[in-house]
Amino acid sequence: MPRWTAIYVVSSFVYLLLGGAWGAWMLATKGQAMGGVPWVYRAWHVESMLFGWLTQFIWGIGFWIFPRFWTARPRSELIPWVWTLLNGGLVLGIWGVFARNVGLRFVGHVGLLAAAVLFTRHAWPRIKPPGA
Amino acid sequence: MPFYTRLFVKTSLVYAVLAVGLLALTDLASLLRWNNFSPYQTALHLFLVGWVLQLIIGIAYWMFPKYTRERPRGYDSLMALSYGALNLGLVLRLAVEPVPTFWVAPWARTVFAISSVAQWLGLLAFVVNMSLRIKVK
Repeated sequence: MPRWTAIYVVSSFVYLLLGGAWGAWMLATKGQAMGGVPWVYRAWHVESMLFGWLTQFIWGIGFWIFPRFWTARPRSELIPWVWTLLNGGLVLGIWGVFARNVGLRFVGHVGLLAAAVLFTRHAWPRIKPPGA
Repeated sequence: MPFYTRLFVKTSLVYAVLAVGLLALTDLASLLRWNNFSPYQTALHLFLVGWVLQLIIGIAYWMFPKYTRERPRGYDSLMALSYGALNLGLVLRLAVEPVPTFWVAPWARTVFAISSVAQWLGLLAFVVNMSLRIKVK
């Protein structure tokens, strides 16, 4: 697999384990008085699982297996930027959850938006019929 | 397809049906005012863990680069642990979570604790096995 796929997959595994651990804590404290602690920050579980794990894993594998133009992956220079914006956005967004700072969360989500736009720009021409 | 791919993918398809069925039951419970039946969160997790995650695990196990010639797909014992733990966790969750009056009972807390540890162990076993197979070419 390409180096950037490996980077995306390893990063996605980190979020899967961390976000999964938070979710496990939420489930384990369900119905208990201390259940409020993890539940207050449940956005961190949701965003790490949906964006940190699922989206990041899919983008990494997509970069690897989508059709290529002869041997080249067009616009692959965008892929490090996508990773930086996605992970930077996630860290800021999660920081915003714990700091209860909506401004930080907004900046984080704008980072995720920029990452999604750039990945779409990368992947768009690679969705093509055989031989094109 | 290898055995664990077939196992994870077929199981994931069953969860897709169960999750959507439970989603419909959520609406029915609301319509019929079954106040002590609230399966929405369980349906979401059956969908995302049971269906989406297990489908990904099955396909990744099949498609990732080979580990070694002797163990092309890594350690099958880890995949068995992943499958058993994830599904035990999901089934336990399904048994307790949809009925909120259960939650405060001591036995339910034990079930939630076992379910949460089991699901996380299932994730860990998958991550360890697939991490061995990440190879840059």
